[in-house]
Amino acid sequence: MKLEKFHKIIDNTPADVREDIKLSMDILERIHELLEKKFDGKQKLLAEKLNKSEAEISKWFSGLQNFTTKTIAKLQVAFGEPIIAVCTEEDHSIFIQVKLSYNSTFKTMLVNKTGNLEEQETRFTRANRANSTNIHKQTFPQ
Amino acid sequence: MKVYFERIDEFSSERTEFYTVRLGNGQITEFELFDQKDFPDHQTELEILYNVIYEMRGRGAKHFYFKSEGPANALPIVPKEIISCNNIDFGLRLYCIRLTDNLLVLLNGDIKTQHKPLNCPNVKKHFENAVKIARALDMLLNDGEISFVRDHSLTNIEIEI
Repeated sequence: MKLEKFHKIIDNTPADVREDIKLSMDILERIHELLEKKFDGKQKLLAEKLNKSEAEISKWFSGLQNFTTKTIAKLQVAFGEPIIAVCTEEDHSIFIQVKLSYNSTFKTMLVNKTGNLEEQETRFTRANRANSTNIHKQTFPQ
Repeated sequence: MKVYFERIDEFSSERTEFYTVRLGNGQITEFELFDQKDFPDHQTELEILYNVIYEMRGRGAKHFYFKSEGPANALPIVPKEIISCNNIDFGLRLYCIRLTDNLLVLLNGDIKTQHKPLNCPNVKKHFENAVKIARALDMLLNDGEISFVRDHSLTNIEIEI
């Protein structure tokens, strides 16, 4: 079968366009999955939860859409489950932030997967709200 | 007119079987005829359309990728910002028949210039053919003459429209 244009377009689609299409299809599949799981597949029930008309939300469930983070956030809250996840280098870190009220000090501790502890202390002064930061690094035994 | 089904081997996969049709004595399939057309003002839509088809090889032909056109279907559904770039028409239409998540028949299409496909000189005949083929397949399914539960092949099926 001769499908010259098809192959030409597939071969020459810029990587970012292809990634956009894949991501849009992933989101579309995920929201259908969650609609089925949480609202018995009924857009009407989701519309009620979001205080929107069924017509307003139906466009999200058909074909590729340019979702804003605001819309995704609304849907995530309505579904009670994530639609997308963001990658981070700190995937395996434990992040603790403690506010010490007596001297307005923030202490942040990061433990990465190799066991290195990074402690960051931020102290605010009353005069100009400027801060000074001390970073301490400590390695835990493996 | 007789309709002969041909498997599109080039991008059929274990997950999704793609077919197209040859009408009557025609030598070229309907999807090849679509592929030969030029749509200079609708390149973005065509790029999305072909990439969505390409992606379906691994994802299946899920119903939410398609516009419902009565018993037939159409592609692509693109963000409204892309369609509004071509505000003199209603965008590109490739008519198809989604039989199951694993079986899709790609037909022909064009630029739709009127809201109703039957009023559009470009897509009218493609839309009508798609509806006729979809109805003929529906009848065969209802009569139990074909089934897609185990077999996803259309190769030996001939219908008359």
